[in-house]
Amino acid sequence: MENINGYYENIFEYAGAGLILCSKNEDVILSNRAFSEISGYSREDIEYKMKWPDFIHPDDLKPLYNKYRRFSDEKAGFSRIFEFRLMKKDGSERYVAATVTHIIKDNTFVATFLDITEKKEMTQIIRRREKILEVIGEHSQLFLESVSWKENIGGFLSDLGDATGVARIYLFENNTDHLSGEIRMNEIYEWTAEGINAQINNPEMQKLTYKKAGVPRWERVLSKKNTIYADISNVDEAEKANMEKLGVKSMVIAPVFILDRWWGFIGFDEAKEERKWTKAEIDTLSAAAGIIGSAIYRQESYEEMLSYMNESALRLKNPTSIVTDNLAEIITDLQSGEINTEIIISKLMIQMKNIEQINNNLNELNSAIIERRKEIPDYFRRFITG
Amino acid sequence: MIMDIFETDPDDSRIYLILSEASNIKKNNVALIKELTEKDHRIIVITINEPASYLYELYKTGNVILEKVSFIDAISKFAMGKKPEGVPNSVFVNNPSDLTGLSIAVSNELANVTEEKTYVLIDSVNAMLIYLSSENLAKFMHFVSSKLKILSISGIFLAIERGLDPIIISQLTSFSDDVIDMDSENKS
Repeated sequence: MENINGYYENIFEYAGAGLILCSKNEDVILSNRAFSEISGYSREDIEYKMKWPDFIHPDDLKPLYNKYRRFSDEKAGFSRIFEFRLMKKDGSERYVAATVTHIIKDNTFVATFLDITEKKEMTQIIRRREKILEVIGEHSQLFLESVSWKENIGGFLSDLGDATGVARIYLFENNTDHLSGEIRMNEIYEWTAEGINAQINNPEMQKLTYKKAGVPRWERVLSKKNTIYADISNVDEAEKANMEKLGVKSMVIAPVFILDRWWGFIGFDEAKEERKWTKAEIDTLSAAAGIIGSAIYRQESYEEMLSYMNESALRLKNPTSIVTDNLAEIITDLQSGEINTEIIISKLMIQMKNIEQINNNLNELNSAIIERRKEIPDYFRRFITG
Repeated sequence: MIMDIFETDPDDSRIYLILSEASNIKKNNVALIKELTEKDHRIIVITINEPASYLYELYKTGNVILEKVSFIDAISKFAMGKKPEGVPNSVFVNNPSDLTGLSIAVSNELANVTEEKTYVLIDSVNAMLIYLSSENLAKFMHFVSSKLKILSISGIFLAIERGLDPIIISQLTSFSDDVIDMDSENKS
């Protein structure tokens, strides 16, 4: 019998899962080696000194109690699995699945703990990624339906904020300084989670070169269509100072490109924790930057087309009236007999040149449309739409 | 009097956008030039729509003091294939779409200005649109108006309102100190 008890002790002590035995008044009577590994507490710290609620994350305690009571009140000898965050001795937390079984004969509870943190985090990442993809899909359609991408960008950033759970999302547009040729970044849109200070009205966020902003590497990396992941623990001092100033722990910065032109970037700041961003998640955020680029490109193409059509109308309507008016004037001059023939001939030749030029203009415009829309001759572009 | 619109002593370096009906633009051109030359002002006419020879004849018939008028003709040489002869005080630009050539001609003429009051008249903005895109037209008008302001010379941009897009008119208005509808002025 003594041997058998010894065997039981060995099974309890060396089981792969964490085990605790609790009294009905919540005291932890026994705990094994694996539980010490999970919790960070030694057996001496735990047994008869701690109660099982001491291990539960405060936010999870109440719902857990409610669930636990429901089972324990309804049925003696119950066995149920509960998932919650276990608080370790060092203050960190782990997700655990605890199978709690009521032992009727001495009214105690035995709980078996499995560390499911990685699985839980992976599930959250997948769920978050799915939500981001859902937002991207939904807003791709909305961008298509909007006349201006600016109409929809606020809603897009807000929905991305909900889906990613980050603290702040912002959109910066690049402008080139005409004198120095340097690229300057300007914050034009921002979404912030509740309790997070917006930065869009911060003068330091406007018209800054990447160098002056303390992020020269961003210009190098983003302009090559690469995404940046920055964690406060592994960036240089200047970037770290920036992140500390804004209360940011990690960030993802994805470039926005319009075809091959680097337009700006979208950034996602995490302020609450040193969050782990997976490659799949970062790729998804790059896709979000991609649909912004597509929406801007679509609108620019539309505006160019509109500009082109306006220009075509201008180049047809006005010159045609001039030639008509001039020809009428020539007829009047001829009828008056006051203008000499040489001058009349030169006036007629001017009208012939005018007609030839109008014809050339229209051919050029038509060729531009037939060959490829974006190859509209430079001087026809972007005048009217600014 | 048509020239009441400039009052008796126009300010230095004012830019006027003068809108006119197509049927009246020739008459208004002559009347403006006559009035200004009679006030001893010198006029540089940049012509894109009419040959300088024709305008010269018109001014002569209209009793304009021709010694006070010089021409930058941007169309005749291009249309005729050679430089016309016998038009006094004229320079000819090879091609109306050659903005560099046109700008040089304007700069050269302005460099020769000695009179106290000088006007540059462009006839017409509409004709320029045959040879220039709206963007280049705006650039050229901006160049001319800036140049005139620097040299304290006044400018008159003649245009037929009917043929012009409101956006172009709005651009031209932004370069001008006054917009004058010649036909409504005459009626009133």
